[in-house]
Amino acid sequence: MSKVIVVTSGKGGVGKTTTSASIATGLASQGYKTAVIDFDVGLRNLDLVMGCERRVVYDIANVINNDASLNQALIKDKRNPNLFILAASQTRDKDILTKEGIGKIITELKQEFDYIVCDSPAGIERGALMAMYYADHAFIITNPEVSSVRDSDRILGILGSKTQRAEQKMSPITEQLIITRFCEKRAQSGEMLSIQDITDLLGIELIGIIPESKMVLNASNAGTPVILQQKSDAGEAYQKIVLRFLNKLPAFNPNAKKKNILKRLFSSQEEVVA
Amino acid sequence: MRILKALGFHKSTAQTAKDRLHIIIAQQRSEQNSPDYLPQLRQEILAVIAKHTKVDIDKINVDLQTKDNNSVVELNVIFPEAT
Repeated sequence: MSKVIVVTSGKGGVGKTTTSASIATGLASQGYKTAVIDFDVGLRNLDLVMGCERRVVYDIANVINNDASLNQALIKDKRNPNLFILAASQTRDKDILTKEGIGKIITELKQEFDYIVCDSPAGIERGALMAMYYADHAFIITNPEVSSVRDSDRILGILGSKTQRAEQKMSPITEQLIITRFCEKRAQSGEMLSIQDITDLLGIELIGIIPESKMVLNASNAGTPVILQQKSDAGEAYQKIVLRFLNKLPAFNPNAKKKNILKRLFSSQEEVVA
Repeated sequence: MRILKALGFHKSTAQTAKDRLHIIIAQQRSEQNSPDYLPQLRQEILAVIAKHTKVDIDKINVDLQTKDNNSVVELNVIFPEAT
């Protein structure tokens, strides 16, 4: 059974596209045929992060308008034969994203792909709503920062009411939280919301933490998903998320590493290790 | 420093963030489940009351409470003291 995954957050700049690129690449490396779709019409960027910007010929609008077939528009990833990218269009008209148009694409993709990853734009406009409409699973991307946490909660509300699964009263979308740009030291010194704070506030399962890392920028500069930087902390964190998602690793346990005695005595805060 | 914080002598900015988020998220969730017509209903009720009385608009409270299958709109108006 193929699965539709939406990567969403509400707030912009928290790492949706970075995460979509890495998770799609990770799923493909695990042998699953994966398609990743950019829903950010007018501001497409997934192609840049994936490093295929010069190979975009047709985009999602061309497919919806029947100017091109889905197979013509899917860009084959140069690193992984299991991975395909469907770019967003750069036309400014967001109205091309219709429930029917997207539904047709998703149905067609489901026949061939194991996973369909939908990279949502920021906000709660049409692009974001369409990215999540057909989802079976959602990754919520949150930064340890007030505006991001609030927007994530808002998105959770929308996932629970404005999606196909909600409207047709099917079993709800499964939701997992990814905290990005986390800095352990700052959380410990009380400058940054802790993992516990965020999970308490949002009340959904945490699947992984991406530490603040220079490698994320390095990777996007090069057009390589950061998950392929296997020795970087961020790359490793994404690999673990993919494995946990596929049940190839046990669920995330924030208290996995034991505190040393000194820290236990002097710290009142929960210590969390990515 | 950390011991001082643990004893409550110092409130960290993260703690402030957490407290603020608790309030705003609770409010957000309560609004999320309210029907779409509520904001307009609230506004129109306020307009009617303002038209006929000299009540301070800020002192009118419109609340919606849902219990089982019933929704109750509660209207609280504080009239100024008669002069």
